[in-house]
Amino acid sequence: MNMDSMRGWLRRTLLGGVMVGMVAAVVASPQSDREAEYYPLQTFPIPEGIVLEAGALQLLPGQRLAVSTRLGDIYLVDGVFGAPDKVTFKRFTSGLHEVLGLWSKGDGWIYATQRGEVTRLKDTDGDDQADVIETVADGWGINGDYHEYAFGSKPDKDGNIWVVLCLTGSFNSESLFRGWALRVTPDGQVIPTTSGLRSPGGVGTNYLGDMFYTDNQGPWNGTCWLKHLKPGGFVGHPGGFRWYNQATHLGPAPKEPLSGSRIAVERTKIPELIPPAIAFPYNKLGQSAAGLANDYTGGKFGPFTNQLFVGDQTWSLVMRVFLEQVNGVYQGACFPFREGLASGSLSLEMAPDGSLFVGGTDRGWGARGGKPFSLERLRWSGKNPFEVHEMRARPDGFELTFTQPVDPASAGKTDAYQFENYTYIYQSNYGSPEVDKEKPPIESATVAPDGRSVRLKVKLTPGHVHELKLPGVRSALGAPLLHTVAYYWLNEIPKTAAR
Amino acid sequence: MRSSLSRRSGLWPRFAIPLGFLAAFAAGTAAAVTLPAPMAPGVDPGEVLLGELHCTACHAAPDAVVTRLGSGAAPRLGGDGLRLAPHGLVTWLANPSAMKPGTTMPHALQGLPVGRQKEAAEALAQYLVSLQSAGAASGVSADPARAEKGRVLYHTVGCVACHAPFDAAESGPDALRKAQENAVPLGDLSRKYPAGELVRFLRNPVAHRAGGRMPDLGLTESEAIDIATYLLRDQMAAAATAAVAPVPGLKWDLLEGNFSRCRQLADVTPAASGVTDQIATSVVKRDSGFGLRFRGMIAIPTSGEYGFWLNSDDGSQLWIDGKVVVDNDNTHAPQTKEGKVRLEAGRHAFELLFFQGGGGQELSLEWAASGQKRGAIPSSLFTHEARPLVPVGSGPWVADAAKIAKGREWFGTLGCSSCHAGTDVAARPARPLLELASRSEKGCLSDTPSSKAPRFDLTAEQRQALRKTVAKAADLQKPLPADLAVAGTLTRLNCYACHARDGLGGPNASGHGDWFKVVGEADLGDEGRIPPLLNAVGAKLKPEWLAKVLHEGAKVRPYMATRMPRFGDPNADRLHAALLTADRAKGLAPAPATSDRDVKLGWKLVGRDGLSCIACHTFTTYGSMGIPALSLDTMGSRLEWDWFRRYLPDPAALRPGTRMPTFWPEGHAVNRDILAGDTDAQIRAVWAYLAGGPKAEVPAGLVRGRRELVAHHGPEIYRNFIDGAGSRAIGVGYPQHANLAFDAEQLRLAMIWQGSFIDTARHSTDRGVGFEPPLGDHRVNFPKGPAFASLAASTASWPETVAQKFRGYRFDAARQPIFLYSVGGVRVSDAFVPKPGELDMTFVRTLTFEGNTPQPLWFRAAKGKITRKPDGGFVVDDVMTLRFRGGDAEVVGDELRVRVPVPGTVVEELNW
Repeated sequence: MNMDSMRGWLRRTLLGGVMVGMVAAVVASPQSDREAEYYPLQTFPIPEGIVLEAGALQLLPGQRLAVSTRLGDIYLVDGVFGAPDKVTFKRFTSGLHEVLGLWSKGDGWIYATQRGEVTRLKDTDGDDQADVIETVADGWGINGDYHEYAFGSKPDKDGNIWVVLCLTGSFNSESLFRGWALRVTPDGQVIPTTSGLRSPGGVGTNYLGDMFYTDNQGPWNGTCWLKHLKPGGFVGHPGGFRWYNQATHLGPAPKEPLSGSRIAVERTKIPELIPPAIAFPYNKLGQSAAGLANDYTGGKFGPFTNQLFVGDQTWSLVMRVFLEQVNGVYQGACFPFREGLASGSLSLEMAPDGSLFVGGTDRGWGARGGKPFSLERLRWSGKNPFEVHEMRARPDGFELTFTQPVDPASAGKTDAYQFENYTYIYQSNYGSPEVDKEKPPIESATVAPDGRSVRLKVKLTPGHVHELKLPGVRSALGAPLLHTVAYYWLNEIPKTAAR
Repeated sequence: MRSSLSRRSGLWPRFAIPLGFLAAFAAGTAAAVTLPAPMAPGVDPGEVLLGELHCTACHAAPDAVVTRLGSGAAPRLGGDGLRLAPHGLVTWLANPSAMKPGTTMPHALQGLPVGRQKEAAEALAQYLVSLQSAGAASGVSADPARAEKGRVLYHTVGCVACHAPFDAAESGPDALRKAQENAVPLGDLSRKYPAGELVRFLRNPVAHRAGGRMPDLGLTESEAIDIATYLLRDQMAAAATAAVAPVPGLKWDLLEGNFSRCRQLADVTPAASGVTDQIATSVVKRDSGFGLRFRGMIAIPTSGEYGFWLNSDDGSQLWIDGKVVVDNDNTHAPQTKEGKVRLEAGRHAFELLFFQGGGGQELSLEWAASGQKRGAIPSSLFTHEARPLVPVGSGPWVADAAKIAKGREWFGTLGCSSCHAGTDVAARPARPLLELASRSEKGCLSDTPSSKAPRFDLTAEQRQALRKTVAKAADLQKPLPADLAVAGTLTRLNCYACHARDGLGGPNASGHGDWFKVVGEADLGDEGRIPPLLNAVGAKLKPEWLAKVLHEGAKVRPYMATRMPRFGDPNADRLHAALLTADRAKGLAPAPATSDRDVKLGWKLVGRDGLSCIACHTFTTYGSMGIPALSLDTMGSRLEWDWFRRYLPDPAALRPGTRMPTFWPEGHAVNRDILAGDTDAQIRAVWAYLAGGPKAEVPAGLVRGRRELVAHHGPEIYRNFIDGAGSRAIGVGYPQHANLAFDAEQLRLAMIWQGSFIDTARHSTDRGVGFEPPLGDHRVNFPKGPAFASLAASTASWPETVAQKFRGYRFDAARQPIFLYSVGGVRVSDAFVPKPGELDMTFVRTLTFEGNTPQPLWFRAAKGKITRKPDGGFVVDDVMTLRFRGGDAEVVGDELRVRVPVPGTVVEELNW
């Protein structure tokens, strides 16, 4: 080796060393490890031979969880509040058609939403196998297209199960009420309720009992959303308008939206159009929004009482949603919450003890987690994560509350925040890029005397995602936020300053 | 003659300024310059015009300039040129831009008095026609069905990326109008083109116009005929009075009925007809009860003995010149019959008959000349007699030697041969380009050109742009910087119509986005229909692959309806070199060394037990588990490591809006089991695996076997899409190897069969698409529609729908389901118990009725050939015997109806 080549070798070696060091520093602490400190995850081992592609979950009395599968089984999983490796699986029934909704009030009847019907099942002889399988309601169409899924909710305050029906494919409704939400009353009546759905991934209520569902990026949906299912409303995709003639109590079909427009514009022209409540910005927070669960536990699941938790199938994670009503319309913010689940997070069930059960599948739609299916339990460790707790719109900006007092010096500086807003094209074509982007300055950041909240003065734009990053905000103890981003979808600007 | 002409009238081309995308509208109007195709900053519009107008064809320039301009050649004339319709050619030459606004073809006769223009145009046409080969143009049938196929192709394969769409836009009429305005004009094709010549052109446009502005979409002969028929649809009207002539393809007739011999087809009136290139049953989509007749002529290339092999299920016959050559008649399973016949070269009458009773259907014909290998008959040999398309305005054309001579003279005088190759007439050079620097406001670029100077209908802006460029023409000897060479080429070839690069171009920007479609129903979003971004594509793709794409077109996205066309080798080479230079200026990180262990771990990562890339990506012939995203086996040969390593951790950064998720969010591996979650090592392992291409080991999870559902201990239920039992089918497999499927939509027993129950693989893998037929054998289907109806009389026609409701099922002690439903006011319970015989099988079905019915309730037990047996049973279609206890069975037409007691019970025995 002569001197030149020696020098070259040295340089390469040194550079190599630096690069390895940098990579190691980045890899040191994945987000899911940081999250696990506050929300540890238990993964249930699933016995050989059981394909637990968990379409829906329902707690039953006695530490028992019912899990329905896409292949049409319902399993009874016993011991779910104990050690994960001690749980046992029993097959309650099989051969149902892709069950994506489960409910029971604990009286022995289990309600299951299959592709073609809502069904109730009961074990009459105590052997943990269903003996009676009764059709409750089947007032919608199904033509054999795989895309025609049906998700079923838990009951609303009137006892109705809401069934949300995917379109036939992305664009059309070839079968009765495809692209609609229907209410199934306790006596089996079917009430067509809301039109404009495309490809739901889950359905459930918020703490006030209002019904919401997630819809996925595609035609007329620039990104994935959480949408409010208001009776008589239209939530965006006109593919199912033809069925208004079968839902005469709702009157004529709404005016067709103009492709290429914006939701905020079309809202002013189409009175029935209910704008989305939450945008999950595509490729920023998830790619396929799925099941949802409300934290009704009053603190057993941590500091987020009455907020919603929403799965994302592709990203194998759970997101957190804060909703508020402004001028009678739902809107609010979503936040990253817990990533690193084993499969595509499809079904969520909150238990009274503050356990969030999450069922997963990645069949047909890939998921980061990589496992074909999974059943997991998220719990709160009791440690209080430093997070944005709520994000509320104000006439001149936002009010943020935090789970811990903030350090006024850092949180009071406008450069602790980064802000931009944008929206999506409302169009018949698939998806949308982010458009109409603006970066208005944060004019002021005012910390409340108790350090629990911050008022940000910034321009608001209806019909836009308001993306707020908070990299510079520290807690009173000097810690950074566990998650430093919030995405607020704004439909309405509050008229008067509350509080 | 030449000099006097040019002196007298200053006959210089009058250019109607170009070119759809470069602007320009009707000659003589002061249309504002519009530049629908985007032009990157720094690209000189004058230089683009200089190239597109082929200025250097007359104004000779150094090779370096010609290379830089990259202008292609004008259409080739002469013997192998296109044989345009002579009368259309006259009209064209007399004023090209009137026939095709925006053409680059100059109005060569502008300087002549109007009266002489026609005369000169006719002489030129006489000359050009005289150069053409004599062979009769092949006709194309005036077939509306082909025009319809052509319409679909025209709007999907890529034609409308540049040309005007005519189909409605999803985004509404405004979008259609804008796209039509912003399109490369087609001109009046119907006057200019005999259909066969348009087919020739569409099949290989670059051979006729080496410039590559009209690229080669790789159309098959049949597709080219379809599109030509559509584009020449204005010729349809004239075809009504045209004489019949041989046109490509065979005529087919669909004949409906239950046939058992070919001769029965003779007197049946066709239910549908059409033209096909293929002898196959797929011309109609029928299951049973039909016949097909294919008729036309077969062109025998050389005289000799020919063997024919005719395979069919059921019967078929081949007739040539009125004689049976192969007889494969009668109802039968697939079988091949052979026949031999001596045929002279030339056309012979051809007829093939086929019928299908029920069950499987097959039809194929092969042939071989004596001593040759057996194979398919080339579809180009089939013709049939039909009224062909005829150019609008055509009539008799008589060659005139004097006019031909005159035309040849004009051709030289006008300098036509400077641009057009294919004749023996010498070019007519003008002042060299570099000598024009000080004359850039004179001659053709003068605001008021003299009669001696050529006149271009340039807009002021275009003229100004050209002047600026010509004034500094010497600078054009320097090679163009690579990034500008790329950008200029993307503009010139209109690559921007389909692709965006660095924020410029793309179908949505050009307003043509609505017509980019995905093939079938692949759920890929815009990535399935919009051609890929070209950002840094010279560094993304390996040079060999990039060359392949540019020279041969691309086929790695089978889901994309729009095809990547070929622009000719010179264009491909030039763009290839420019892309590599422009995009690799900073160098690429070299691919890492990998080991066999990396390959193995990469295999694991890609498959079911790793990251499940196969959830979306296909591999060779294996479909993915979900959407048909790009095949994994092509990645190794396509992609550069430097791009790959940056793409995987953050796909959306390189492809905004992609559905490809990352498995290394913020650089952290989600899978921490493989390679201890080391991001770099995992990406390297995937790379190592992909390098194996199609020879790599098939990723785990893609080989799907049968997943038979077996009833071991008790019956198994399977509710799903079952072929023959509908979308709400309930299949039941019994341990006794008897099976049934109940249709919960129509509330009827849909099928019974013996042996294996069902394969659940279709619905338990991937997205679970489609209907699965039963496994097993001895399948019996029951009539579709309601099984119960309340009728006033036993002979009343059976209703198509009745008021009924499915109520579910419950299990008996043996866990056999008992179906529950209501028909009107009658509640039905429907129980099945299998009783296996030694070889046969019996279901004992107990139907119990409760409630009331206003008029008698009837059960339709079977439909078909019903034979009453002496012992009271009924034989259905010779395969199944039904017996009833507790009801009154009656044969009504081809139906077996049972009047049932309400309340009461009927026991039905189904033996088969």
